[in-house]
Amino acid sequence: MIWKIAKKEFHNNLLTFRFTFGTLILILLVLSITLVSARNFVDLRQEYMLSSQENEKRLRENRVYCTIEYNVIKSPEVLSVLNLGVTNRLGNSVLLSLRQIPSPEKKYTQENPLLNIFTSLDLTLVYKIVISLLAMLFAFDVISGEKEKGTLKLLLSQGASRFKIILGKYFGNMLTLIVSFLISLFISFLVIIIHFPNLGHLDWIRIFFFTVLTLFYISVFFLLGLIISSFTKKSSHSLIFCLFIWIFFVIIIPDLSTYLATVFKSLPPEKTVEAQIKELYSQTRNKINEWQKVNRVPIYIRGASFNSDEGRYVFQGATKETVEHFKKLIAFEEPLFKERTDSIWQVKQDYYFLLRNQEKLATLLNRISPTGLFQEATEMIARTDITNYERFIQQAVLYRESVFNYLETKDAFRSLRFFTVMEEKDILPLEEYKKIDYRKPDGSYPTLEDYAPLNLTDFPRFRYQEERLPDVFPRVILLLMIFIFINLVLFFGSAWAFNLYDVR
Amino acid sequence: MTLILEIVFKELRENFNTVRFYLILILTIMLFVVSSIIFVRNHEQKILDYRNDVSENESVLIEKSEDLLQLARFKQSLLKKPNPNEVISEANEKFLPNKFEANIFYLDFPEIEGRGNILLRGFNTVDWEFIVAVVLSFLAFVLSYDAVCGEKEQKTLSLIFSNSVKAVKVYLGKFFGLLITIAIPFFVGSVIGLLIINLSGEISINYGRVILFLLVSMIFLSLFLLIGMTVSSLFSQSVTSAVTLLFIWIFVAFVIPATGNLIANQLYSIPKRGQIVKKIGTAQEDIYNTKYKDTRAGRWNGDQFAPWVPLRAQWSTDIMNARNQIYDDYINQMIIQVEKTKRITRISPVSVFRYLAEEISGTGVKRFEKFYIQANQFKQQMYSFVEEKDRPDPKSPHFLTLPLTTGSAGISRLPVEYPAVPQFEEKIPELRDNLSLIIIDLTVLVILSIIFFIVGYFLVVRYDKR
Repeated sequence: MIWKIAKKEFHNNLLTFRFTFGTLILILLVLSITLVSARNFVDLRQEYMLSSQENEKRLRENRVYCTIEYNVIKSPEVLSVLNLGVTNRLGNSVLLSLRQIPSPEKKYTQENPLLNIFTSLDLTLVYKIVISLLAMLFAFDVISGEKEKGTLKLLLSQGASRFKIILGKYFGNMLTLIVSFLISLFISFLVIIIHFPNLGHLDWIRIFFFTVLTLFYISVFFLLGLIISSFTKKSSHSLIFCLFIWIFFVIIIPDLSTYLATVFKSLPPEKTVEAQIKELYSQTRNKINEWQKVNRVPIYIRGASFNSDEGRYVFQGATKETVEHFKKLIAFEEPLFKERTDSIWQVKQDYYFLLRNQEKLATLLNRISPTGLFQEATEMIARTDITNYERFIQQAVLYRESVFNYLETKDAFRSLRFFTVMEEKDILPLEEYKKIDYRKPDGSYPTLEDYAPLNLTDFPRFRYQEERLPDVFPRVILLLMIFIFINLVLFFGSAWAFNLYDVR
Repeated sequence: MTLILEIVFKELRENFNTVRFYLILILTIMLFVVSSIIFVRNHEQKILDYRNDVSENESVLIEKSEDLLQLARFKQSLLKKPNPNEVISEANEKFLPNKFEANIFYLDFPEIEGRGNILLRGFNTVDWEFIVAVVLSFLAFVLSYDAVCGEKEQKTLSLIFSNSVKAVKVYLGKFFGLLITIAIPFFVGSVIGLLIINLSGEISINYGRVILFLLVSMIFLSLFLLIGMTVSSLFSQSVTSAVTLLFIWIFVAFVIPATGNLIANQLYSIPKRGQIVKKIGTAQEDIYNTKYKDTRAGRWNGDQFAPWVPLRAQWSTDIMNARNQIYDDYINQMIIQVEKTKRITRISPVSVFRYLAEEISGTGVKRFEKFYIQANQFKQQMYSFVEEKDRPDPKSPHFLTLPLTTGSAGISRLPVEYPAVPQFEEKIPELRDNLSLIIIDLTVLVILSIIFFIVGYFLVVRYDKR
């Protein structure tokens, strides 16, 4: 009996305007968005390649250790087609230098910040808005519509229990929605396969989860509509209630939860962080200045070029006394810099902790709406959520440690090459230093480029360890369970409401 | 006329008995209350932050005015002022730059500073413009989707049109009935919102802008009601009409505005910041190679009156001008990119309305443009101020740009009296500054409304009323 009803519903639905129109719109949107996202991804990957090359080039240009900088960069996420997530805003690179521990950037990645006024498109946006609306449009007249037509009494008189009727109607309509959803998804898969032929099987498992999750999401909205339909006598009333519930959950809650979170957990202004960092800089500067006042020697250097990072010069030649002075200075400075670097990182971490807390509150409030849950879960699946971004930053921090270990094995911090291109044999006393003409044969003075670069072929390179499926599994399963739970509650709610329904 | 009024009253009586009217009323009032309360709280905080920042900047300026050179080189923060009109339309200013750092020579790249949180997902600020553009436009469709076909389903349509009453009057009556039905929650909501803001005390609202916004909103909502009525008279079933309208809404309210980034990056791409920095570098090299390579301008021995110093100062000035030119081009390119993109997204009336609300409240990209112009003017004003104060000092060689290449020499080191130092204060765009844009956008909305009125009316007349 259940299947008979389901089949009949399904057949009837296929002929309706809402099915054809809705499916067409869905296909159109999904197709265009997947195409655009795929193209966007190709651009991003191109950019990633260029940045990697740039990194290598810059490594090869280093003449001294203190100028080493490396742009820690992660390849763009293939599954960002599903959901652009936060990585879209936070970017996928962070600068590593001797004086800076990677920490989350509080910077928008848009080249033109004025473009921040536009939202961005991804599959999740389409599904969360279009398909939830479609589900509501299928559900609103399931019961009340039949009542108006007078067919409900007929159905009940055939001896089917109310529970079976509602189950049959649920399956029949859900089947229609699933057909509509799967057609659009299939088209998007085709585009994805064409653009990314080497998608791993683990990615396909993620896509499978995305599909399952979307099905439950559709079901939630269908059941919401079904409940409303079994509470109202007229389908026009039912439609109005459905639309109000829809706009409240899908449109209002996601924006309002963010807005409320900024009030309930307000942040200190960003300037406080900058002020603290400035203070740390000046503390270190003062200590160094005092040291320099005490340890003053005449400085003789030549061919100096400014290393703006620390206000120090990288030079080509100096007297013995000067070199000794710089060696002592660096032995004094480096621990201070290390301390400062750690403190700055701590300050930034503390502020990030506040940002994260505010975001957590917003996410929590957002969970009132199934759309919020859906957004959160799809970000996890697409590896574009905050956890993944933090993972990247953590790995960048670990990577920096490995760079430091590498430099230690090279004895970089104590070698001459840390701050000058000179070699031991070039260190001369003042009288001899003054005598030598350092000009090149053509009469010009040498620049830093005339010296051999550092041999950094075995410099450790950053390899991002992708999040494994088991890492994200518990979180996705939890959200899926919540979805299943909501579905069950809503289903029995609608069965109960239909049981009480006055069919006359 | 009285007949139209009669129809309007009849419509209103009917609408007031419906559930949707009360749902709209409750939802609209709730949104206005929440939006206004949060606005007041945020705005008070912004004012405090702004005052703190300004006084901090001032205290450093007082310190720096002990020495003209220090004053010239000091990078002050030029900040946007809290704008009370943001209650109407915040225009995503939370994502837009609100600060320039500037000395008398250069402006830095624009920055975003404040209490924003990049981790948050929510995109729209729940301001009045959001309530109208997104929520009420949707509710206008909810109200009007069955205006014609619903009557047909209830078999009352032929009754209304069968009388000797002219069809146009019936149509007008229906339209005004719907308009008043949606206007009541809207006006009640905005009055409550205004009361909340007024009770908070500190915030002074510009009522001219508010009234203009309310008026524009009414035109916008009329357009949506007319679209709803037109679609409603296109179909015989109200469900079909509802489905069509809802998908239209998704397109105009979500899909089209979200294509902005795509349009901008694909059609009007601009150079990246890194490229600009490089361009500045090559420009500097070019200047040296073409004009100063074989001269003595590169020489510096600390004597600011040495014969080659004027040439060196000229070199610095050339570098400054070239850099400022490149920078100015870049910022203008950014603005033009957004303006062009906005022009394309204007195919959605929701976008037109949102831009209109921005223009009315003096927020958004236009405000940034004005802010940038003001910051630039201020930089020049400071430059002339330093020039003027430098002139009487006999110890100064009067080469203002020399410090760019040689550190200290070139400008007087005498103190200046602080009160004379120019102060930066942003002027929020006035209504008349955006007037031409407002008129254009408003005309678009009005013309669209007229078109839909005519099409809708035409369809109703041809409608199969049986």
